[in-house]
Amino acid sequence: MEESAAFAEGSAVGLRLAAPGPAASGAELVAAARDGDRDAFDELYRRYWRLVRAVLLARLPRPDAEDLAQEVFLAAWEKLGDLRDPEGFGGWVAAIARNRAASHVRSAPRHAPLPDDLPGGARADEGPGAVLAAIRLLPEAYREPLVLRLLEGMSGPEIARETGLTEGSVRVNLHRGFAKLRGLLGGRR
Amino acid sequence: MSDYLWNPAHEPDPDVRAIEERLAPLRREPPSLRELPDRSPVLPPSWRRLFVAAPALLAACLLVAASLALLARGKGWEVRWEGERTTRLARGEWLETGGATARLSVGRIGTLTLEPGTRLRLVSDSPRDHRVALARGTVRAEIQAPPRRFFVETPAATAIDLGCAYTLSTDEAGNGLLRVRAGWVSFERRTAGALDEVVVPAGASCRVSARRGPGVPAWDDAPEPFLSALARWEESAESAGDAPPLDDLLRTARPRDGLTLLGLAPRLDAAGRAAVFDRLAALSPTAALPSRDRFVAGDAGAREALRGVLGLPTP
Repeated sequence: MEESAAFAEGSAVGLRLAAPGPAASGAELVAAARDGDRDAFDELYRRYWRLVRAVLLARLPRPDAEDLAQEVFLAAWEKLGDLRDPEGFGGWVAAIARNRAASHVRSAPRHAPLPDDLPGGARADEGPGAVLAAIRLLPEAYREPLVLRLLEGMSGPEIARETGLTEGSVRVNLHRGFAKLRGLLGGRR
Repeated sequence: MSDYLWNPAHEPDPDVRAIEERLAPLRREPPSLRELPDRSPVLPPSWRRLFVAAPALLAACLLVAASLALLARGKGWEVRWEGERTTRLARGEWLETGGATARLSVGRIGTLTLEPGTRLRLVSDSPRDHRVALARGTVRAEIQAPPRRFFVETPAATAIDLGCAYTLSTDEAGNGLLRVRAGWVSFERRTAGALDEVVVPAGASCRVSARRGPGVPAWDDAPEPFLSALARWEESAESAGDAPPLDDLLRTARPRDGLTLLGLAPRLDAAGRAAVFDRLAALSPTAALPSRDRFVAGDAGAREALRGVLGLPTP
């Protein structure tokens, strides 16, 4: 409760900007996108694509994750009227991504075809795919913070803000997750 | 303090950098978003939900009507007193036990037993936020719920259930003691811009001070000289002036008491942390310890790594 109050940027009631630009707040963009402004939604997409991709990469192989990221935003566009708190777009779209990832895992074939994240010309166990595959072996609580930090370059406080976790939890998950990840990758480096 | 994993603006850590570089080929701008379809027009969301939910709404109305009598019996939580007398505690109300013991139903997730001399207010009874304010006295909590659904606020800190049973005492100033019998409790105090958080496992206790908030957890079965030394250290830390000596604490610690020493480390200066590291190393001579320099520099990752090496429990 205290965190959400601390991060609130003010009420969105009555905000209807003609053309919210890159400097617009998330609430302004959500309000405009709800009214059908596709440019405003495109700006939301650019702001939150990294978060959504990280949520998906924490659960799925990369090609699936990047395809599904598009589907997540299309679903968000369709359902935007259901979002109650315009300030909460990040948490809301991340929740859609988690649900989509879970559905994808349930519906995916048991013996999915290779490859998983194989970069051309590089040995699979040296490339980024190997790191992501190792992250996906970790307990779920560690995965999203690690992808957001190590791939997307977010700081711990940014991760806490985007995911809604406390900074203490993010710090613990980052450090414990990284220690385990280093152990998993230790033999391959 | 260099903590590059927490804040990329800090001095780079070679291990973290190595993995960042392996992931670098995937770092990029978002691809173009596919063309957005036209939204199906266009009832306001509230009306749309109403149409979709109409059958369920009807059933819900019937249920609500049937439940009104139950709800009218009283909001809040049931209080069962010695001698089987039953009352209810509504949100915002205070409860004073006087010379009696009372048992409070914490919604549907557990019970809270209030010892004589306890004064407590029900702050929130929502299903995701069961919260009481303990002004003074002693409560015993038995909670079966996901973590962070039950909160006891005291004048100096908030005890947050992580799935557990515990006893919490406080005086009106906020001095008190948390003793965990099962699971884990997070003991937290929020100050301007900061959060002091101590996680206490089953079998351990943690003092809380009105002035400094949560103390350091210690095993209840720790040797008496160790516990006495800890009490002396915490009392000395209360008063301004030089840092209290660690010698007695370090000398009487067992390997298991790394729980306490690691909890103490963030409150010490570099020399204190060096002494803690050296004592833990002496107590666990065969363990593969993390970097002493990083631990002494206050690196949280090194502290967590040391916790793992020592085999201390984690939530």
